Amino acid sequence: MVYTKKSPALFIIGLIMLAMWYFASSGMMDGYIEHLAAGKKYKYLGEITTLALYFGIINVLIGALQWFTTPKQGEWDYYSSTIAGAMFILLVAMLVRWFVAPEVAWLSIQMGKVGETGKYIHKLLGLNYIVLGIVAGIIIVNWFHIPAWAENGVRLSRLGLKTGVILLGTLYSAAELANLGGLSIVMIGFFVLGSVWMTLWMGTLMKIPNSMGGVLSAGMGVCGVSATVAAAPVVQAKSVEIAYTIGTILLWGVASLFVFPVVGQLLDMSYVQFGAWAGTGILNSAQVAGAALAFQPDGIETLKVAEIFNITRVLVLPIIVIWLAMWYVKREEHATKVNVTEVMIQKFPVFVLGFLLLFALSTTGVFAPAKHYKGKFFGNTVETGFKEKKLLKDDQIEILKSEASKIQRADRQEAVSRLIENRKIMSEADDAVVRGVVNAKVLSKKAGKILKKAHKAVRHQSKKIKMFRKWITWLFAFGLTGLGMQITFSSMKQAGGQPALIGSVVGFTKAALSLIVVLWLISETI
Amino acid sequence: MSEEDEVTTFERGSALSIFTSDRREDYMALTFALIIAFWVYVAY
Repeated sequence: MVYTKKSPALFIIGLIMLAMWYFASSGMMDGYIEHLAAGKKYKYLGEITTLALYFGIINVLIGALQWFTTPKQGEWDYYSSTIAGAMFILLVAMLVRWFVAPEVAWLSIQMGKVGETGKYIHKLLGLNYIVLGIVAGIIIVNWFHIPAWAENGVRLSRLGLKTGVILLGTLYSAAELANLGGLSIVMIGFFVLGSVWMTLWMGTLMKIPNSMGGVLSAGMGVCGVSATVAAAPVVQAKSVEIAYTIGTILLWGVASLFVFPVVGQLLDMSYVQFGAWAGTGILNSAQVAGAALAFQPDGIETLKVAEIFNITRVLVLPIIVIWLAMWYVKREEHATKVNVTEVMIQKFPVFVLGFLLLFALSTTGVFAPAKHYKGKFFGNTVETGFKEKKLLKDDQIEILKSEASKIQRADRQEAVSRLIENRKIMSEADDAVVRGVVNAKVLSKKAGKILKKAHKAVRHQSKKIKMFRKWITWLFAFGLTGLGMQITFSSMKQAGGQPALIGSVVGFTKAALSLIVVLWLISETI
Repeated sequence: MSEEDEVTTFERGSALSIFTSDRREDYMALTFALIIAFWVYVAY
C-alpha cells in the first residue's frame, strides 16, 4: 500500500508559513501586531520571522515533491506520509500561539476583570495557546474531520510529547530533583496505591469482572493509557474492557485539562502546588503536561514540577503490575499464569529512562557549565559585572522590609534580608531561595514583582538551556495540539456503565484529596 | 492484548501512533531527543 497522498496540501501549508514570515518581516503586519500586543511588547515576532521562514521553505520543497512525484511503496513512503499531517499540526499551533491566543487575551482585557478575582477571564479560564490549541484540535477532528493526507502525521503527536518529556530532563538541578522527588514519592505512593485499592474495592462491591476491575485500577491509579496497556495482559482484560478504561480515562483527562487550571487560578496556587496537584490528580500523562502548561503558559516551572510527579508515577508501574498479577491469580483460580517480569520489561515506558539519562548528562554541566554562573552576575565590582542601575530602589526596599515578616522559613528570611541589605541578590544560592519565595506566593504581588526584578538582574541562563526551553515549548505545543486532534467524541463515549461510575468516584476522590494534601503540605516548599 | 488490538483503524500502528509498538515509539523519541540535545550542545 502507498501511504503518501499526491496532494498540494503540504505545499500550501508551506506557502501559508512563508506568507506569515513575509508579512511580519516586511512590516505589513505592524498594525495588527501592535493591536495583538495590547500596549505591551509582542513576544512572538522573533518566532514568526524565523520558524515560519524555515518551515515554510522546507514544506514548499517537500510539498512540491509530494505533489508532483508518484510515491513508491515502502518504508520511506510510510514515514514521508506523516510529514503533511505533522506540518498541519504545527501550522495550527503557530496560528493559535501567534494570533488566536493574543486575540483572545485582547478581547478578554476589553471585557475587564472578573468580579473579586481581580483576574481577566482569559487568565482565569486558562485560555492560552496550549488550551486553545487543544480546543482547535478537538474542533477540527469532531466537526471537520482530519483530511486523509494528514491522518498519519496526526499520530505523531505522542512522539512529540515523549521527546519533550525526555528533553525536560536537561532543565532540572540535582537539588530540585531531590527536593521534589522526595515529596513526589510520598504523594504518588499514597495516591497511586490508594486509587488502585479503591477501584479494586469498588469493583468487588459492584461485582464487575475481575479483569475489568484490574485494568481499570491500573488506568485510574498510574498513568492512564500506558498503564492500562501494561496491566491488560496480567489481568487478561478483554478488548471491550480496555476500551471502557481508555474511554473513562480520556473523559476524565479532558475534563481535568480544562477544570484543573481554573481551580488553580481561583485558589491562587503557586507553580509548585499546581504542578504537584496536576501530576498527582490527573490520570493521563499528556493531560498532566497540558494542564501544567495551561496554568503557566509563559514558563515551564509548573510543567517541571508536574512532570516529576508524573514520572514518579510511571516508575511505580512495575509495582502495580506485580500487585495486579498476584491479585488476579488469587481471585481467578483458572487464570493462565502470565510471566510478570516479561510483561514489565516489554511494557515499561523507556522514554522515562531517556529523561533520567538527559538529567544525568545535564548534572555534569555539559549544557550549562558552572563557570557561566559564577562571579559575573553576583560580584560587586564593575569588573565582575556590577551595574548600579540594577540595584533595587528605596521604595522597593521599603516594600520588602514591610513584608519580610510574612516569610516563615529561616533560609528565606536570611536571603531576603541580604537582598534588602545589599539591594541585589548576592549569590546563586540566594537567587534560588528568592525564586522559591516568589513561587510560593507568600508576599503580595507588588513584593513578588520586586523579587522577580532582583532575580532578573542577576539571572544568567546558558544559551543551551534557553534553546532547550524553546524546543520543549514547541514540542509540547505540537504534541498537545495534535492530542486535541485525537480526542473524538466517539472515543469518550466508550466510557459507560459501571466502569465509568467507578472511574468517576475514584477520579474525583483522588483529585479532591490530592488538592487538600497539596494545599496543606506545600505551602512554602521550593 | 495490546493497545493495537483495541484501537486499530490503521494498517500500521494504532490510532494514537504510527509505530507498531509503544516501545518503538519510545526509542524514536529517545533518538530524536538525543539528536536535538547533541545539536544544541554543538551549535550553542
